Amino acid sequence: MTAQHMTGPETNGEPNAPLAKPRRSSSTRRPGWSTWLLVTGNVIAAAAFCWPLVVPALPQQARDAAPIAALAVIPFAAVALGLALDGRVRSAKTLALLGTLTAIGTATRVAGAGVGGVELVFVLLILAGRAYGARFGFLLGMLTIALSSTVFGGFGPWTPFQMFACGWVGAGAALIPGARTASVSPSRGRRMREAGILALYGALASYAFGLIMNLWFWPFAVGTGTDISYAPGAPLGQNLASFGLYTLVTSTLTWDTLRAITTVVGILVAGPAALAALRRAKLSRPGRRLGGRTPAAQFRSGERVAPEPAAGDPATHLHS
Amino acid sequence: MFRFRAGPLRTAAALAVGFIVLRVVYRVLFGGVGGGDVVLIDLPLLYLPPPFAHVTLLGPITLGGLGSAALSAVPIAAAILAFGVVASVIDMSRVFARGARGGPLSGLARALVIAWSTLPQLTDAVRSVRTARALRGERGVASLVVPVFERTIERAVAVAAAMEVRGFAAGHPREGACERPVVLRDVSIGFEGGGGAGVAEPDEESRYPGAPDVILRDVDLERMPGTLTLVVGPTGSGKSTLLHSLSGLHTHVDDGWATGPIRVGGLDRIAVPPRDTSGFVGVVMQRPAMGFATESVDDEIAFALDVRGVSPTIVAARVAGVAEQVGIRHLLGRSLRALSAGEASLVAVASAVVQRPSLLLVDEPLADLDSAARTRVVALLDRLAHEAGVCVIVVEHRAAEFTSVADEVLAITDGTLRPVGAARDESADAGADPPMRAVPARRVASDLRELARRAPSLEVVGLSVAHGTSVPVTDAELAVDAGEIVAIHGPNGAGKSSLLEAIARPRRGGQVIVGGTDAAGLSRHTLRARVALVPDDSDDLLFCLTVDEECRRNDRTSRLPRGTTAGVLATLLPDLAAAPARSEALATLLPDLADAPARSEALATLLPDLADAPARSEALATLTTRIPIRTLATRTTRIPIRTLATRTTRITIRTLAARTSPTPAAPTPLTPASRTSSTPTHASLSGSRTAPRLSAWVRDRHPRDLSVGQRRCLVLAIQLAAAPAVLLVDEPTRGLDPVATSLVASALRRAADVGAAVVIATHDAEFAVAVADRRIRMQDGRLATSEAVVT
Repeated sequence: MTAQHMTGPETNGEPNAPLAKPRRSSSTRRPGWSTWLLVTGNVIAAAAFCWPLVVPALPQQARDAAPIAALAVIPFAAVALGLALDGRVRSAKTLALLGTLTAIGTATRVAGAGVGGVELVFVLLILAGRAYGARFGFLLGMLTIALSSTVFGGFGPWTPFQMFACGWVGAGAALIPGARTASVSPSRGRRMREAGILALYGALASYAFGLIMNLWFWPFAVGTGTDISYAPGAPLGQNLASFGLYTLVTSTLTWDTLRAITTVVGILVAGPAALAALRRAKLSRPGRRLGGRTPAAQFRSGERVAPEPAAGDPATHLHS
Repeated sequence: MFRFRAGPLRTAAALAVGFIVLRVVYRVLFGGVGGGDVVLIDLPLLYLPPPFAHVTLLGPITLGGLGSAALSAVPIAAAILAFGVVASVIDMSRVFARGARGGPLSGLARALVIAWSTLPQLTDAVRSVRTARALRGERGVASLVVPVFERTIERAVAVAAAMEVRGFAAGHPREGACERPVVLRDVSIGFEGGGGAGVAEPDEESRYPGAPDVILRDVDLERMPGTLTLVVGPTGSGKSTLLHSLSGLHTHVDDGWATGPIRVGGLDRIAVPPRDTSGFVGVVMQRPAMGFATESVDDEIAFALDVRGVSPTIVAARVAGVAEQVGIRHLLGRSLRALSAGEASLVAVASAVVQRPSLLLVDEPLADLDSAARTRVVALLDRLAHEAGVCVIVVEHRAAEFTSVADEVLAITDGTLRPVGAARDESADAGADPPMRAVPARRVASDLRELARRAPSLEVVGLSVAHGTSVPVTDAELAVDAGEIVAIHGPNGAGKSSLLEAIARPRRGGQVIVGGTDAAGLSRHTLRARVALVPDDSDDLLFCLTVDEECRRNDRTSRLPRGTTAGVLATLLPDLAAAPARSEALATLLPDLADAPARSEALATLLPDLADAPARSEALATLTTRIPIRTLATRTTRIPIRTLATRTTRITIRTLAARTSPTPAAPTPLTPASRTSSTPTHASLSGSRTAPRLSAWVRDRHPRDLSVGQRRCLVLAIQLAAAPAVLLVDEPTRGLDPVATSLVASALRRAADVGAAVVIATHDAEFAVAVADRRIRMQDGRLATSEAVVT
């Protein structure tokens, strides 16, 4: 199951598409264009988040353009990642789950908007990312932000940043090693252990989310002329100190802490059951035979030894 | 594409103002509003220690400083506002819908379309789950989140299947030979691991305990164009599995297996996935509204053409043509949300036949429909088969409706498919539908009823329900005695469900008196213990990981002794492995009693000195469902039970127990002392003293892995555990086949027998007649006078 998760929806998608199989295996062996796009897109996005810290390293004439570049580049990075991942989630089931869970995410985000900092959407992203893998979690984060912003307003230059940050929260949950269980109903101990790990991750992710969202927005939010303003020419230490104070005062102690608490409580309360619900609708079942039954099943039921392969059908030969 | 919505603009305006205000606040806080001429407030400067030595807090506030702070924020605020304007004039749902038709981001756009169309369903889901958990007396987060999650995932699975069979993401579309739509030779079908699978199987029926790997064996089937074939069989027999072995969902989506050649339109079904055969195989799924993947009727019908990339003008013409053919022209242009269940079924048929399939597979099309809608669907399928020449295969347990139009009726019994004759015009029931023998009829001994009766348990006086302008219930008057079952029947939308809900959770607008006390004055907890409602979507009450947890949780919430709920469930599901067989055996053992409830009633009357209801019901269950009944029957053959009952001879529980059980004098609770050898799991428990126990198989099961009938019994057990005086059940038989129906019917009967006043709302007239003492018709929110159900 681990391998399934790491390779993401590509292999999760449609377990028994006989005709798609050869294509699939070739693309996992060599990193294709979409993998490169995936990596590049994420690196560019990360750089855009960190633009205030990157600027001192830039030549003088490029510094003024940096904020504009950061704002401009991130939507392109979002589209590029969308393109890279779109081809891998073409199976009906993945898309249906992505769609319905996006609806849940949108609803929780909007329902929580009135209550400052109560961001239950992280609970969903973390649980779904955990159950269905990093790519799914990433896409879910992106689509949830995209849909909630378009449905209920609040669309703005920050939207692509939010999409990336939420996408990373969802993807991260799938990438935590250990205590992974593919079982639908694991023992109580394992269930609680996994929920505990995810809750811890949720707390960290809540703070990290606030931090990186503040990092790129801080110069815009504060503007110039204050003592915690971003100063392009100042040493990195001073900027970091200014930023640290800004983020501490504006979000770390308030919104982020509230978010961390709600996320932890949400994961601990609803996590085990929700994970079981998600896993019951698994995207794929590892080790299945396509079309035919496994020899073990045939043996058990005392039926004939091998399914009759349909003559002249390459797909059947492939899997029998 | 364009339309105006004020919402996003308003949000954007609020955000823009908020942005400006925040920037001013930051400047005030961090010493940035000095420098102007007019000093408004002269705040002291505060210096911070390193590393924040460059930061000073507060300082003088000047008018000019405030102004320049606000001005500096204007460009970004304007940008926010501009985004708001764009968002408020572009209809994003249309943008998504267009993007989903093709192009590089069509996958994600499709996901967004599904999300968009799921949003309103989500609100409904949350509403009904909130009601459900209140009915169960739960308030926690998990009881809300988990059922909503389950519902959503259920929808995802349904959407996925519906998209798959309509050619979504088809790699290599194939054409089928329409002269031989279906040929199966010596085919066996099943699930790996015996059906312990997840919701991935829409065919959730195939989950009876120890369900064998093989669901169907040695199936030979050949159907011709222009025929309508009806497949019948009890729940869990594999009707849907058979249907989806033809649609391809069984092997390609549901993780099932099949052997032997399954040829659909001449193609090997096992090799070709459903999405590649959507051009000539149309599929109408169970509960079609769950699987709608778009927002409007037009888009839904056009789905299969859209994903194939057919040009919009041709699509529009084709959609109009199909709508005409199906008779839903008036629905075009409407939102799918606004459709009734019957209309949704017709739209689902239209979207399945839009590509003019040569084979149409229909899964339980009549399940949720009232009789008018049923007639329309049957007539439509008849026309498609016999006028348009489609090979139609319908799976349905309402066999009677189809017998007049079906060319052949096939029945599944014990894993094999057999023809049962029944050509068209021959209205024979075909014996395919297992007779409703196990459905308890009315009680025979009317004098017994008087004995069981106490004061009227439930009185409803002048109850009205109003939601805004609509008034679903007007001035309802109802009195139900303890031990009585009243069925409220009427068409969809008559207000039946609203009435039950208003009784369970009384608000203003009438009086609900339970056991002589006005329910409005009762605390939440007491009310829940006295009045239990099993809602229409009974699954919403379930949210734990295993049946056992579910039962224990209920014991805690309802403050019941540990094991109570499990005990009640055990009595409701007497023997998971062989319930129908056992009840048959009982019927032969006690031939002088016409039906099961009379028997239980007789026993209930015989055992009045068990004061509390759960214990009594446990004892009853032991007596009526376990093997002791055999002993009881043989022991009491000298005195027929009927005589015993009518004489109201009071045999104490002690005596009975001593007579019926080999364990000496176990007064209460009764020990299920001996078991049939056919249930080894039970045998291991036989030494236990805690009365009916659930088998380990059930206890460790995920609630949603139980069959529909078993799940409903679990919910009934949860709601009955506190021994409520009033039990309300909304549509108890929805989606149940005769065997499961009889399971629920006897559960209701047991509840009545232990002294509950039972009110059911149903549009299943047959069931109402079979189970109820009185029937009351409801129409347009008004209750008619009751009709006694005469023997």
